[in-house]
Amino acid sequence: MNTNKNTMTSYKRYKLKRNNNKTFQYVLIIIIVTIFIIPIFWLILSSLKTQAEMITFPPKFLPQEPQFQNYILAVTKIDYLRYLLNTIELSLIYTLPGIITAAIFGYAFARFHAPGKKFLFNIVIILIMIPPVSVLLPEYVFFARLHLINTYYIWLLWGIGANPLYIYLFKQFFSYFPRELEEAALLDGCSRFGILFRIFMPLSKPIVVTIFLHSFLFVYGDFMAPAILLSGEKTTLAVAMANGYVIRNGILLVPVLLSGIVIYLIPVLLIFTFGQKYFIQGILSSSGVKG
Amino acid sequence: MFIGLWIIMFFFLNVIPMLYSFYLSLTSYDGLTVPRFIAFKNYLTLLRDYRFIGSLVQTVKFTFLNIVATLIVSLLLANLLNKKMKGQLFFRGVLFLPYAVPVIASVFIWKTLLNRESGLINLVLGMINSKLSLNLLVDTPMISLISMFVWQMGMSMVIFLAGLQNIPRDLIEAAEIDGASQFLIFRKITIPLLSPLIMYQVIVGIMLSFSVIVQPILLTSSPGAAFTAFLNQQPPYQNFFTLIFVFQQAFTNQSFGIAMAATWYMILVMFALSLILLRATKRFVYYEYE
Repeated sequence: MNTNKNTMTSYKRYKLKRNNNKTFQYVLIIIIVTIFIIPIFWLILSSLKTQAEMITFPPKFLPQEPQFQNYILAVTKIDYLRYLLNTIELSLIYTLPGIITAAIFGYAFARFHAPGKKFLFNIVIILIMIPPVSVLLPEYVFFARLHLINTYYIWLLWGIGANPLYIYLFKQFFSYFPRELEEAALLDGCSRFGILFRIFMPLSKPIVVTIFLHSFLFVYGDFMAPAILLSGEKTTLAVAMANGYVIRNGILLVPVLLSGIVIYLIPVLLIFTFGQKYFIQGILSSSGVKG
Repeated sequence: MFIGLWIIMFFFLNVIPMLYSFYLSLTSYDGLTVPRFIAFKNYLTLLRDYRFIGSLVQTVKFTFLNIVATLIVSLLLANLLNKKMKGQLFFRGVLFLPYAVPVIASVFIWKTLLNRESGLINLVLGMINSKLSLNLLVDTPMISLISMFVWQMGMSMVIFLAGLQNIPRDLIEAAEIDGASQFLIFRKITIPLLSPLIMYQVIVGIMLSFSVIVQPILLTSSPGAAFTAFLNQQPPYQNFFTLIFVFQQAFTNQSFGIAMAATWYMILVMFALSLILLRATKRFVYYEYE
């Protein structure tokens, strides 16, 4: 009896401790989340300040008078719309062929038997880990040889070459499909391409959405590749903003730049809010964890 | 057949450029004249170039600090998020958000945040004591840079979180009822079970840290007013990484041969580090499926 009571109290104490922990957890997570969100708020606040407010020493929390004309200046000082359209065009040039070829290669890796396939697939996995920037210079010299600098064909080629991550994602996804599915179709006289585009692709909508969002955001946010490979009126928004908001004597209009960045971030935030599930799923499968 | 197509694209987009760059690294190519073969002279010149060696040292230092800081923060946050609580998805979303912020935006966000004149840090310090102020971007450039990467650790946090959710709950609850402290659980159960994921993150972290170039240049260079073309800006020596050296050799100095040789040195160091780490930690990493 006595021992039973003892275990009861110890269990109660355990529960109490858990409840205390709970409150502490909430406080802690709210503080951390606030810290993580502050930079974004600071960006918006700073984008409404004047140039003078940005460079006088004791920083102020609120702008003396919100400068909404910063936003107007941001879209008129550089040809904002054109660069935005450039960026979107470039993203699509890379993304759309990329999805198709990645699906083809993923299908090949999932279904066909070829000598050395395993070895090749290991190369794909290694390529996932190598960041594109580190081999950008060799590629620049190569593309310069082909006279492709300052054209969008480079992105088309990259798209056709297919991002290794997307090949991997398609391969993993296709591997789960039952073989009976395509055997039946083959008997009915469907070609391999027919199987891929009529049966497999419609079934793998989530992975297509994941890849579309991922690859769109990748090109949209990329700075280094357009900065090196494109110039003049062909560059993307990111590069145009970094170079564009300068007045004659080389002074950078910081608040205007920040306003431009706020507008630039809106699509990212929209995609992120609505596509977060897909986005995270893609990352997880790339690292081999089941989410 | 399809695989054959991929092999062709792979050769065209990866192997040929790399081989071509290796060939150029053996020449004195300046982007205009015909490349002249000079064997390994570029590689030897680089070994005597103190700026190159310095940049390599700084890169390795940055890689180490960046990985340690990012992994610790993301692991702790993932552990915190893994507890049962309301609004978990919302919290995860907000903490993950900075990862989706494009380079150029995150750099200028961080620049305004840490700047001496416009920064929030100095605003808070000024409220405590009006004489207090820090100039983080100038005094501690590397720490400023790393703090930005810690802010953007969303990806590794999400990976850890998924890993944590795969750990059976009863295992942890059993340990809790037996009276094990949170720290003990973390050290004896969580870390060993997550070790393959940690290893994966470290390898990816090495690759990513070596390829950082936009952030140090735009974040920490040119604190003054003059804004010159992107690659001509000179970051302080703490943030002068190998990739910056490579691109400046190629585009500012027009010596592509040297730049290519430096790229190859960099790739060599990158892979050597990864391989050494994989070998050295083989004993500590727990692989379930072996």
